[in-house]
Amino acid sequence: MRSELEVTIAIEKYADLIRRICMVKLKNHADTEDIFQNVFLKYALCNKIFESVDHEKAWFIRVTINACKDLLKSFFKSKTTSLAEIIEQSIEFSDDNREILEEVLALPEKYRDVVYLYYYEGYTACEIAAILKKNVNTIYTNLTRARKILRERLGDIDEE
Amino acid sequence: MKNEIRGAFEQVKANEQLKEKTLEFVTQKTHNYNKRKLNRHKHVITTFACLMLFLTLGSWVYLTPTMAIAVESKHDIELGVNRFDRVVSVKGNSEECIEFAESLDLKHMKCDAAIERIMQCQREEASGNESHFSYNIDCDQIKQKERIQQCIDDCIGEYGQDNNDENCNASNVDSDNGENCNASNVHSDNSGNCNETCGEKENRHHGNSGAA
Repeated sequence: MRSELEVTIAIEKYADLIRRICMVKLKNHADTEDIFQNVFLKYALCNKIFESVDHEKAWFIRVTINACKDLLKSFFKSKTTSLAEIIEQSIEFSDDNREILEEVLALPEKYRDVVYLYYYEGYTACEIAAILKKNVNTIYTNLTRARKILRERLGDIDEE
Repeated sequence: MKNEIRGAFEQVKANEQLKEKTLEFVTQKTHNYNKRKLNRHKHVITTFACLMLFLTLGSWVYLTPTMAIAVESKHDIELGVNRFDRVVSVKGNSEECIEFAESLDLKHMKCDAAIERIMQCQREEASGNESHFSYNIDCDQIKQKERIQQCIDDCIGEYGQDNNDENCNASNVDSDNGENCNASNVHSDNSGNCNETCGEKENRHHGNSGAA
């Protein structure tokens, strides 16, 4: 089991990452709290030795995504979510950022995490495939489709 | 597109309250986890302590002699016998006796079997010469004393019959009045009469009645 200091450091280091994944995957703040607690409790209790910082980060991403999936599987969560709740989370941001976030969060679920991991975290398609345990070609397809949707919706956004 | 999306996500931060709540939750859970772990250990410790207590008591009960049998023959040996009639200690009066006792490997044997082995070895050593055998039981528990005495007597009786031993004398010396008696081949009763010889007791023991 990890010490309180290790958990505190991990929270400082990965809280933003987990918050963003929660935003991409989940619908409301209460769920985010649950995920935070589950992920860091799992971290505190596991004795896994990470080979590198990247390995640790990938572990957090994987565990967070799995925790989100588990939460979404539950009957009540799957029946009580709406797009409005997702967008509600981005109210505090500036107009430009808010518009982009809204569009990203409005993407079908399978595209959202791919877009986030590719554009924000800077992972390659192969790395994303490894983290999400999906076929690389599926990742490429999802990325292409997500990019197309975003281009259509955001129009003047620069392609990169 | 990359920069715009990156810029948009960059503004998403976990607030301090969320971090504090999470840390509080994890601390609380892991504290309880430690307590549970300690409770699990408590069970292990308790079980281990009970086991140790059982072993200690068991050893004490088994290894504590409740009776001493002094065997007087060519080699004088004293056997410590526990409440289960098993030999738990063997002593000798001299180094030769100790060596002899160790060579017999009498520990943990049933008392009558041990006596039988001693008698057999004594006889082998005597090799045709007259061998003398007497024993003295010191025991507070009358029932056990009687039981062992009977066992030894039976053993001596069987030994004599089986081996047609004509040169072996065996007798019981009661320690209560032993000082008043000739310890060899004499049985004395509690009244202090030291006139019952091995020959008179040949129905109870075995041996050559004439030798006494």
